[in-house]
Amino acid sequence: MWTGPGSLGPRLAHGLRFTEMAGSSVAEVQRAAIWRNVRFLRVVGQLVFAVVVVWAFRELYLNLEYGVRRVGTDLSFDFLQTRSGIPIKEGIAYDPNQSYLRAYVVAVANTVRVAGIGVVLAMLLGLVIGVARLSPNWLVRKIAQVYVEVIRNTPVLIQIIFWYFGILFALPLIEGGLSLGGVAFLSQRGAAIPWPHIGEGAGAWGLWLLGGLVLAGAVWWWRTKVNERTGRPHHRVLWSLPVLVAVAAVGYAIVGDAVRLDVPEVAGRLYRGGFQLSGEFTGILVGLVIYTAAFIAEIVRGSILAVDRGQKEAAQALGLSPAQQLRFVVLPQAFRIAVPPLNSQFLNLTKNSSLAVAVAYPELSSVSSTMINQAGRPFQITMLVMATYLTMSLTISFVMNVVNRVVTRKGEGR
Amino acid sequence: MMDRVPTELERVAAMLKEEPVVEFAPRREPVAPSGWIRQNLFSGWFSGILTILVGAVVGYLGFGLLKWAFLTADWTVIKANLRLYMVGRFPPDELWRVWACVYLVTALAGLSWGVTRKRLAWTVRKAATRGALAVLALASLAYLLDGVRIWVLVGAVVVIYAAAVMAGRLGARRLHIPVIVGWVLAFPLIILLLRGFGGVPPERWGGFLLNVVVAVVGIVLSFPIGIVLALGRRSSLPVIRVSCIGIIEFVRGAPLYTWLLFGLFVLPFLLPAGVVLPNIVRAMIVVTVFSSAYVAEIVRGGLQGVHLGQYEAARAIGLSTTKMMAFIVLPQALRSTIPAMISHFISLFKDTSLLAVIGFIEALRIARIAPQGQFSGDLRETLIFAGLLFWMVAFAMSRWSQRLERRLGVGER
Amino acid sequence: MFRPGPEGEGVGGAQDGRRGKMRTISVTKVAVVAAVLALVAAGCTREEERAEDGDAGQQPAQSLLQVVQDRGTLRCGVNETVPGFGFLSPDTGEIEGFDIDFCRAIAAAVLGDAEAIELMPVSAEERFSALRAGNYDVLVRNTTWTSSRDGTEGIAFAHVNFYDGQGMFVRADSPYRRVADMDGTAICVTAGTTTELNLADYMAQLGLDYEAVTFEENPQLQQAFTRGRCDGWTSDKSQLAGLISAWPDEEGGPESLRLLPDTMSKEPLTPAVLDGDSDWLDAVFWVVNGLILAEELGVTGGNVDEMAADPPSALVASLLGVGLEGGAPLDSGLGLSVDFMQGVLRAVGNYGEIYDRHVGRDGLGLPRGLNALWSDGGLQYAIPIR
Repeated sequence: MWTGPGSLGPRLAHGLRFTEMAGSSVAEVQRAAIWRNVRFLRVVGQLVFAVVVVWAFRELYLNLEYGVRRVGTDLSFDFLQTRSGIPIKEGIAYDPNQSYLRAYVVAVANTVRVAGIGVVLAMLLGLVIGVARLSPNWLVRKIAQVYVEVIRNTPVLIQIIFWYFGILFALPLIEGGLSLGGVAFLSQRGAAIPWPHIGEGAGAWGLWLLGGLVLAGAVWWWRTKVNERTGRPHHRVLWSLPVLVAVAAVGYAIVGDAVRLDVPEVAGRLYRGGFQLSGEFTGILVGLVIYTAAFIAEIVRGSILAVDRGQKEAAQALGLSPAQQLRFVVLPQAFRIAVPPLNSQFLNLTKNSSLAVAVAYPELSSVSSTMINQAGRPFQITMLVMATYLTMSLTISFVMNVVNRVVTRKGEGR
Repeated sequence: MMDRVPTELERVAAMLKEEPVVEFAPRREPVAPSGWIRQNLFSGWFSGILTILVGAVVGYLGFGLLKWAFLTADWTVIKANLRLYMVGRFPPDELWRVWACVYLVTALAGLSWGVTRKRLAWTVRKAATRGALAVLALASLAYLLDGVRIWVLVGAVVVIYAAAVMAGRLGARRLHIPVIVGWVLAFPLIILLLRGFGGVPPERWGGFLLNVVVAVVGIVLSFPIGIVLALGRRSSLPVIRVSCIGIIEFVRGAPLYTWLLFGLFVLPFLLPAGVVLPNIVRAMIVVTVFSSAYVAEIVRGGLQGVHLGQYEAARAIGLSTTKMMAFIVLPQALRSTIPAMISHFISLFKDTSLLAVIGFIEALRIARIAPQGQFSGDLRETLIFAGLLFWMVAFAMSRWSQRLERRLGVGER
Repeated sequence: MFRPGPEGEGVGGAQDGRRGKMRTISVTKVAVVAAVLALVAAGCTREEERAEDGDAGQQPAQSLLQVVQDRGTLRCGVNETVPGFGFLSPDTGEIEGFDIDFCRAIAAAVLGDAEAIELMPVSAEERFSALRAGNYDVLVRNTTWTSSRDGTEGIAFAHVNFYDGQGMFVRADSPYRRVADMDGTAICVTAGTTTELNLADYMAQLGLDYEAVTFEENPQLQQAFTRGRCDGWTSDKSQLAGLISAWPDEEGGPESLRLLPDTMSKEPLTPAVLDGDSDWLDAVFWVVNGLILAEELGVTGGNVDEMAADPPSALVASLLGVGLEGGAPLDSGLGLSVDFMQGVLRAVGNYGEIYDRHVGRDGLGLPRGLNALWSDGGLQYAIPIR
């Protein structure tokens, strides 16, 4: 309730009445009628509101309880411990004899996997397309523009389904599948790429790597100090990187079986080894990345354009090449501007991963939908799913807020 | 014709006479094609390499796409399912209702277009592209439709242009209010047309019609609810503020698909035992609530943008809170949010395609189940057609929003 | 974030206002908390009352039969992608099929009007959630009767309307003659159905390795099969028959497919309702049963009027709800009108006619097989109406 000068009226009126009613008690006159008193109204208003809300929730809860009992289920979460019987084709270790809770955890892990990789890839692709949209080269600019205009205006679900079915079925079968030098494969079965396999010596080698990082960090600091003192170019990366690599190599040689490269191979109708990306995972990943990248491209373009033109001109006047202008002057400031809208795009990508239900990738939404059908507790499961998505959203927002604070602290006044 | 940019006086004079302001770019030297190529495509060695690479890739993909589209693709699946695509299970003998709605909407769209456009500058290039597009559209329509329906559709296009020209003639300023009133009235009128006088129950509305109707209902109903939520979020009363923040964050935290599941499978339990809402109504409720949360956030941004001095000035002249909000604050706030709002509405329209995975027979679902039997299950043609339907509307809306922004001077004042 | 000024308490009220505001807030908080506690306490007692009412019987307050009759429309959960059983025809925009006729039969019995139906297409994944949520009244969607669905999932099944079995087809030029030959192959199967689980059990029983290629809808499975992604396609034999007969000529037509002789499981397809509503379950059961009984007794959609006017036997009279030679008609007390079967038969005909129209000689062309009457060597056996 906003207050306004409306309360002035009664006071003035009472003041006038005071002059009329000589002899009345002062206290009486200065008090306005209780229902015109704004403070009272605020309290009562909130009270009424709260009462209505609580009553409504109670009614809903009673209805829910009654309805749930009518179909013979309950409102508890005990069913999570029972056997699920839901087949989940990919993800962390799981078999249908385990509990619903386990199935849920596997589904959440799958969502995190697709969202995490998707965010990184979408950011990269979006950056490229965004910069391309500002390129002086007409062809590149137009292609990027067509990309953004087409992708942004088509529903994401249609795109995901298209990439999955349209592309998956256009790929050859596993027998005649595409292979990259015999170490990476692509076919209708999915994709398989070489992946490091953690061996026994991994822990020890990790310590070596840590030492190497510390040493490289020291070299980095030393070269920076040299630069500050003498003005000579520091070539930080050129100095510290070989140090890191040398220490890592020495450590690898000494420790032995730390990390191996697991190269996949085609075994009949399956891939064996390596890191396997199922067709469904690739489908939803490609669909999400391409869609979100179009939006990120617009954010990148908008934020670069929002950087004061004077900055670019000053950089030009200083003699920086266009690439240097972009790298040292424009992009850092643009990044600052871009952080809040990027946050919402990352959230959108995470929430759009729920569309994997259309391509049968077993992530949170599709598994929970199956669980509702089988276990029949829609209320509990839906609440659990919403809580999970809310947690993921809050985490991403929190991280982006930290990033925001870091970049805006460095540049005061922007 | 003028060969210099009009002065401020000339500009004001033109505006007062309600003529469109004639703007010109400075006279450009005509560039020979070879000069243009050198400047835009090969300005440096890197640019040259990019042009060649990108050109090669795009040429290869584009050629492959065209070859597929014209040679191998089987578009008869769309022709066979066209009615399902557009209206789903709508009874064929009641289709006149849909046509009536189409004409109503195109007339209003034409008027809106006329109200916002400047005088068309028909250069050779624009005429060529528009002519080519028109020919392409007519050809594909001729392929898809037969007989009478194509003339009905052509009639709708004619209505758009006629309305636009008429709007231009009558003067844009006078038509602002009627157009807005027209759009506001159109919404219940369309529902009446479809449902009233022994009409078709909402369960039978399907196809693209369903997408459009759900989107329109969601947009129209979420707008006031979103504003209320945004105002509530800025309230000084802690209970109301916390409730609104809670609602907004809770609704925004989950994806639309989860909310649709909630609406379809949990909401019936929450309602009292006798009350039964049809599926489509529940879907509309969910879409409306979901959209309101986003509208609330957009309006909040707009409210934050209104200068502090406006509030103080409003108080100083003695406006009550309601009057202050209605006459001073909200108009400014909403005006600055127009681009974000329209972008959200476009996004909502696209999100109605999610109804396909919930079991509603709308455009995308038809795309998924249409290619049965003799069409050997090839989804590419059907998906492209469904995507094209959405794309056309979304693209038109985003272009119109850009034009509207320019006209209203958003961000300039 | 800006909130306009302190509360306008008028002239010289700034300090008063602030003190007052602090008082206001704490008063508000206390009041709100007190109100919430009071309501929650009140709520608890109401809950107990309601709980007592609810425990009085597991029966709902009102049977769905009554609800449907009051509402005047029957809502059926159906399939829209299976030719012959429930299929959305692009020509008419209507969903037609074997199951749809049963839906119309139930509507004719309960409401007296076979067209007072609302067909709600549901996917396999959500059919039970939707039934529990009350989105529709009866599920006629080629759903298999299983014990777990009857038990933990809270579904009740009426009379089997189609005895089916799970089968598999492969390409005619492939080397597989029986399922036992298909070790190490990829098999297309619809997601979320008993088909998937039966396949797993059958292959495990035979000790074979295989890869399940699952999609939600038939077009996608068809794509996978034609592109060679899978070697076999398993589903209910009735669905396979429909798919084979509609196989496109560019892919070789129906001759390019071979239906394997194995029957991998029993699939009794049955209309289903929610558990705990025996009146509604009875109504659905006796409609289906009545259709089969009509065929046994030789009553068709064509001759039902003559039969009703002059019933040749007591059994026919009981079926059609007319009195025999001037006697009183039989009222089984099902909550339906006495002559409900007459309306049903006039609307859709008897079981055989429905079968022929959609699945038999005028439809998919499947022989009666297991679905013939018991007197013809099949499994369809009607419970007498008397």
